[in-house]
Amino acid sequence: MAGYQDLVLRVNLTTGKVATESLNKEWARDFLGGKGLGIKYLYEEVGPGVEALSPENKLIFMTGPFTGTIVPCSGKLGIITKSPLNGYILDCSIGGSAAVEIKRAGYDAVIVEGKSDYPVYLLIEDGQVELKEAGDYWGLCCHDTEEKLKKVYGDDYSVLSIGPAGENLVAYACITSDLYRQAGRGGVGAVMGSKMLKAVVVKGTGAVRAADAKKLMDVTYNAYKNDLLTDTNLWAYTDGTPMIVELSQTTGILPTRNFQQGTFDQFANIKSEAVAAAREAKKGCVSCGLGCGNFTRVGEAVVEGPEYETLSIAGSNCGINDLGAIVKFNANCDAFGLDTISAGGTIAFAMEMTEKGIYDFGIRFGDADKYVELPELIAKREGLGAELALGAKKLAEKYGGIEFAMQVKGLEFPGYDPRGAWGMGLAYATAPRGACHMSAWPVADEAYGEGNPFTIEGKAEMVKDLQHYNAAKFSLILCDFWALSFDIMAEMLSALLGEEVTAQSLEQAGERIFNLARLFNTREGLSAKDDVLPARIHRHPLATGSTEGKTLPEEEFIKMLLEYYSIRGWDNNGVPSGEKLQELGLR
Amino acid sequence: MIIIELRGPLARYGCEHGEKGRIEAKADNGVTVRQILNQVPIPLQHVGLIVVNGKKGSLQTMLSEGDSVVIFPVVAGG
Repeated sequence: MAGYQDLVLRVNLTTGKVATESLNKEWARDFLGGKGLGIKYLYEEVGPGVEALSPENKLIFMTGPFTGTIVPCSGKLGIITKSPLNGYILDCSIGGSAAVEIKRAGYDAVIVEGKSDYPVYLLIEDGQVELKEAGDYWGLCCHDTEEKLKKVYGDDYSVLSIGPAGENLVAYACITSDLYRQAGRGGVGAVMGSKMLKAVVVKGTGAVRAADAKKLMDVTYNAYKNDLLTDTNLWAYTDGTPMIVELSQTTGILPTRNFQQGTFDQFANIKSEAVAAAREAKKGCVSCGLGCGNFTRVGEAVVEGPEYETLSIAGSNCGINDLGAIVKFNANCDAFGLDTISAGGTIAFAMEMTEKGIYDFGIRFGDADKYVELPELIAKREGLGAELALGAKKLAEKYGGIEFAMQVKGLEFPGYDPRGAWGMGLAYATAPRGACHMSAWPVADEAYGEGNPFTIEGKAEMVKDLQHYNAAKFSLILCDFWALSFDIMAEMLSALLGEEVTAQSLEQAGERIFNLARLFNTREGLSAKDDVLPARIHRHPLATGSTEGKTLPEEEFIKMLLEYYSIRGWDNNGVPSGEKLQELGLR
Repeated sequence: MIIIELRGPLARYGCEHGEKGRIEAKADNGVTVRQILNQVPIPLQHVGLIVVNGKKGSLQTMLSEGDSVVIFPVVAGG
């Protein structure tokens, strides 16, 4: 089948058995690849009640039909597993080059099962696949692991690895690749660590077949020139995500001091121009036409970033106004293998708990010296780090403060305050993995665009549509930063597959994928009671800037949520109806 | 004088005193953001958030002497 390799690599770490099997073509047609196809495999193979950190959970690395082709911005790899935070579906994506190497090695997906008795890494060189003893690597930071492996195998190999945080099963441990890229959210690194899998090392020398290569070249060239390299996408190159700091400050949704404020007095220290001043170079993933990465150096610390989410959640939200400290914190999170968003969110919660006198964690807003040391302590579960490794929700359950533990389903908030973007509140509440900005990003319209941020009108429809759009796009897989239409996606996919794919069918695939994620979660017991926001969003008015006096009132939120369920064809408890499932071919 | 700063890729549409991304204009007769932008070849469909004196504005916002305007491109992703 053009666009796919028709092969899945299955690795059982309990038995050490490595096998290949055909890709399920029917599933590939219905769920595309990446996020969608990964969710489908996990839904079929990991049943309800399985513990996320048990050998019965699986870790799926999934490429998409565009991976390894000339389609730009197609370099991401989907990583799908059951979430250690909440037992729901968890899908992440990671940039860099690993996806292309896996596909060129001949596989659409690598499914890792079971658990090894000792540390191992997986070596894939085209058809040669081997599990290798990784005792010499266990305990190393992500960069050191990758550099050591590349010394053995060469710079042309891609490495996916975990750091000490993943080994120690920290709930928000990430997976790293190409030194500076992360699958950050939800604890995919902890799942990898629970399997004693330190790294995947991969090199592929094959190719991906296009059904109509000339047509694919033509449509891709047009899309590249006329749609990708435009003023709507090129901010990713000129600035990257730090540009969003000033957008959020202006619109009053920049998380500050654990979401106590929506503006930050010292925001100029962390905005795009400050990051640009410390920038040494730009970088993109393989196949990228944009290159959003900023290599930033402050003193000894070097990061590809900091991204907006880090500047906000681990910056203003922790009261940190020193870019150097944020870069250092980011570099430490990357080294030890932690998600900067959940780390920042958890620390901000601990800071507020301390300042309010509810529980003394010994860390206060703006305490940069202590804050930069925390990633290592968290990853090693030492001292204060042992507490912070729990994440904001579990800390609140232990010590109080649940109303201002800024999380949904155990996943800490990213960098947009829903009191100044009411649709974003709905997006956080209904994203399958918890508070997430990758499921839908309505802020682009309601806060940064011409929409009204303080209304529920039209938001249910907007969030639903964006969720379908992202579900389809991240299944193909294309990068978030290319704001392309379903029509262009369909045109490129038709040329690749050699069959007519319509924009409408892609949109429906997005809806199918989103609903399957919901089914995975309802099978685990999720219902409307879980689609909630922390009380602070409903009850504590913001006090500064253009969101002064604003909350997202609970009755408005519930009205918006019920409207959302209704237009989705879900019942009032958030469960998809039989009719909707039939329409989508899910029953 | 009104100073307009163009951000991101929009910076290439303006240049004053050798400073890329900057436009200077006079505040005649309640000039609007749109009227000033019409004087440069900036594609309005790519204009996103408009910030006037630190607050969200629009193409219709009327400007006065001394105002500071920042123009961002439309954004997607995050």
